[in-house]
This record gives sequence, structure tokens and C-alpha cells, in this order.
Amino acid sequence: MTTSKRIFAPVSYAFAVLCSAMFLYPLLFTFQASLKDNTEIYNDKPFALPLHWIWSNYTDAMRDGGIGRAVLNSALYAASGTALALLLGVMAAFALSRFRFRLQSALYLYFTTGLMIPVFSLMIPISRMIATVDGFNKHWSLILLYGVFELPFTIFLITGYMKGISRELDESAAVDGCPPAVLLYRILLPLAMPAVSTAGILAFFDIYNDLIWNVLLVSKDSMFNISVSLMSFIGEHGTARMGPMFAGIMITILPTIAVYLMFQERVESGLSAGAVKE
Amino acid sequence: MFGRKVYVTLTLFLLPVFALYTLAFIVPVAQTAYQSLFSWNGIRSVPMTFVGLDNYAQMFQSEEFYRSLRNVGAFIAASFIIILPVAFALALIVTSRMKGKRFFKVAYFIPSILPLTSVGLMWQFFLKGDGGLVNTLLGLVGLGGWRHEWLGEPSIAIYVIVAVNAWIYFGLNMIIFASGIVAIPDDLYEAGALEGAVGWRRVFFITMPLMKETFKVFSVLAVTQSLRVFGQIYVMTGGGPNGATDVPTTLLYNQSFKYNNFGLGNSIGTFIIVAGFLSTLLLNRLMDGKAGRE
Repeated sequence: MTTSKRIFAPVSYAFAVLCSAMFLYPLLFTFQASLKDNTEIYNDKPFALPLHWIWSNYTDAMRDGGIGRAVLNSALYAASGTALALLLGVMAAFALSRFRFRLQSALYLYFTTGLMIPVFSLMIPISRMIATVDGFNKHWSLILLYGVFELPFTIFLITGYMKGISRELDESAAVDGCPPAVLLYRILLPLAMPAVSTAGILAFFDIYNDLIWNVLLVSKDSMFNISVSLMSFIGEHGTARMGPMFAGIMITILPTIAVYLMFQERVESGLSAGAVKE
Repeated sequence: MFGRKVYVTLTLFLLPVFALYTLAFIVPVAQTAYQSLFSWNGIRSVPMTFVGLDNYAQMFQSEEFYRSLRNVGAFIAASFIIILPVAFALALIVTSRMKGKRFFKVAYFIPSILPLTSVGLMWQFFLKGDGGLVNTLLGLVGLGGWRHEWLGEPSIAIYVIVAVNAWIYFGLNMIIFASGIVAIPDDLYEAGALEGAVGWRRVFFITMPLMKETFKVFSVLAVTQSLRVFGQIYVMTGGGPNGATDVPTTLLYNQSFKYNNFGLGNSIGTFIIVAGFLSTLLLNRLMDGKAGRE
């Protein structure tokens, strides 16, 4: 035990530290570069602190790139889309988990089939459909789509969780003459909060990070989300001024890091639950 | 329960979600399949022409399509060759009694939560041939000869994206493995330690055999998630140079929204849907089958 243990511990510690550097250094560099000008970004001293801290890179990214507004847009889409998915998802999960009726399992299968369908395959019919209802550059069409795309996972997760909550609750509620909606929102929903918040976090991150639907369905600057405004900001300015580009990247990632640090465990379990959904 | 009004209640709770889901999710799936039999240039006033299976013939005869499948193959292969060992090692670290493991966990997980577009653009700058961070660092450590236009050379670009993708998702897979590791009861390790299972042996003879289920989940994910790769490529190369980094999803986007071959785009879409379905069902069946035999 002695030799193997003596080598094992320091080697794995060195590996752990090296890996943290591998993940954090690119972000640290991005932060440094967001305060530099092109000459400093392109020189041979990538580890050097900025000579002059050019905070105006951030105001440039906000003003010329509209990155601040984009963060607000993304947050708005994410909050509304998540709210819609949770509202519809909780209602469906309640019906599918607490009642016995003929089409129950068929409906559950129908809703969770969406888990197996990559939404990218639906780009063409979705944009055609949005065109026919005149939904380009409209908040409602985006939010509706975002919400619906999160439904399969939301229903899957919350139905599974609600099935595990004792049915005796329902029976006593029925005896007391408590209507189903009250049973759901007063009694079941608070008990199902772990599943609801996991589904909500996943949906929020998914929508905040969306790229393709904002690319396809929005052409108005004022409605761009973070992905599209970053790309168009960089498309317009090329590499002429890298500082503001890196500042723009920083502005879009800081909110996600903040949310993650606040709700660490929830975010970790939410995102990994999202990955293992199939 | 709830008397005869139960069907009224059910309708109220299920109808809105059923209608929206059907309209915005299932109908488009049917449309993708149906419209893959037509040729269309994307202009609304121009009618679609029925062409039967021509789009599929074109798809299966094009070198681009097979290249996009090989690129998905590269993502799947990298999941097992790169992501699996590294993410598993990271999971061992964050579940060990090592000092600072909480910090390590946050550090490893952060790339997974960042917006894909931001991360993609960040790496695009790092990987530039001229003045990119990667080349600068190579020069600093005396490996100037290894410099490349990382995303601009068709022979290496896809592997570079695969590597960036691994960097992003190590942390997420670490969490999946970590939840498998913490599910192993402590007394098994204690018993093992009496038999001399410590250090590497503990990992190989106790941890790994008990994590079969987690490895199965990982394998299913490796395939299904690789089929869904889109943003990384769209942001970093757009499928270029010259289609070298296209995967089916970017091929669909480029064929339809760049070259106006919406019919071909729909046949690629149908292929992705069918492939997604079949791979999920087959893999789950395969994995369950193995579990049943034990």
C-alpha cells in the first residue's frame, strides 16, 4: 500500500490542478483580453496583465454590439419560455400521473416521443409555419416555440416524480371536496418542487443559450438574443477591434456563471438530468 | 375519484398542452417527412414540385452526406476515446477526499454551463492561425513548428472542433459519472481495502465494475448527443472550410437556407429524425439486453 499510495496522491493532485488550469485559463485569458487593445492581445505575452485597463471595451460592446440588451432579451425569452413549459408541463404531468384513464399511457408516450427527436431537424417546417402565421420578429412566436420544445423533458421529469407521491393525498382531498386544480397547486406542486426546479433550470439554460431559432426567426436587432448579437457584432467588426469582442463574450457568460454559483447543486443535477433524459 | 367530472378536468388540463405540442412539434415532424418528397426553393409563392424519392437519391449519392456522417462518427469516437477517460478521472477527483475538491468541481463544470455561442467564438479566436492564443502558446514553449490555421485546414478542422466539444462537455459527463460513483456504498470499499484494494486497484476492481449502468447511460448519450451537434460547428466554421466540418444538422441548414435546396434539406431532416429514433431505441434495447443476461 505504501509506495502506490505515496505516488497516487501527489500525481492525482497535480492532475486535478492541471485540469482546473485547462478549464479556467481560457476564461481568464478572455477576461484579460477584454481589457486590452489589439496590440496587447496579439503580442507574445498572453499572461501579462493589461497595461491600461480599457474598461471602455465593455461600454463599446454594450453600445455598438447591443450585448447588454441581448442579455436582457435572452433572459426574457428564457424566463417566459420556461414559465410556459412549466405551466403546461405541470398540468399535463398532473393529469398523466394522478388519474387513470384510457389514453393515459398512449398520451405519455406521445409527449415523451419528443425526447428522441432532435429539434434541429425541424428547421424548415417551423420557419415555414412561422411565416404563414406572420410570426417573424414576434416575441410570442419565439416564446411559444421555446416553451413547447422544452415540454417533452418537463413532462417526462415531473410526471415521473409525481407518480412517486402518495395517492392517499388525492383520496383525502377528494373526500374533502377539494377540486383537482386546488389539489394540484396547493398540495402536489409544493411536493414536486425538486423535479419542477430541475426541469426549470434546464429549460432556462437551454433557451438562454439558443442559437438556431433566433437565427431563423428574428431579423430585428432589437430582438437578437446573445448568440445572434455576438455573431453579428463580430461579423460587422471582423477582427479590427478584438477587445470589445472579448468584452461581449464576458458579458454573455457572466450571468450564467453567477446563476451557477448561486444554485450550484441544482444546476449540476438539472443539466446532467437533461443529458441523461433518453 | 372526483366523480363524473373527471373527463372535464382531464380535458382542461391536457387539451392546451396537447394542441400546442402537436402543432409545434409533431406536425413539423410529419411535414419534414412529407415535404422531403418535394423540390422547393424556399420562396413562398413558388409551389413545391413532387419529385418522389429524388431528394433521397441525391442525398445518398452525395459525398458531402457521407462526410457529414463520418464527422458524426468522429464525435462518437471522441466521446469514448477522450471524454470517457478524462470525465471519469475528473469524477474520481471530485468524489475523493482531496483537498479543494469543491473548487475543482466548479472549475471543471463551468464550461458546460456557458452559452455555446460564446464559447465557440472564444475558441474561434484562440484557434486563429495568425495571433491566436493556441499558436502563441505553442511558440512560447518552443513548439512553433506545430502552429496551424486550426479551423482553416480541411484535414484537421473537424478534429479541432471535436476537441473543443470535449473541452465543453467534460464537466457535464463528470457529473454523470460522479453520481454513479457516489451511489456505491462505502462498506464495499472498506471490505475491499482489507483485501488490498486501494489506489488504482480500488478504482479498477471496485468502482468501475459497479458502474456498468452509468457507462451504459454514457454510451447511449455519446451516440444520441453526437447526432445533435449543431451550434459548435455553426459558430466556429459554419461547416467549412469547403464542407469539411459539416455534420447532418449543419448540412441541412446550409443546403436549405444557404443554397435553397429545401427538398434535400427535408430529406436530411427526415434522416436525422429516423437516425435519432432508431439509435435511441436500438441502443436502449441493446443495453437492457445485456443487463438482463447478468
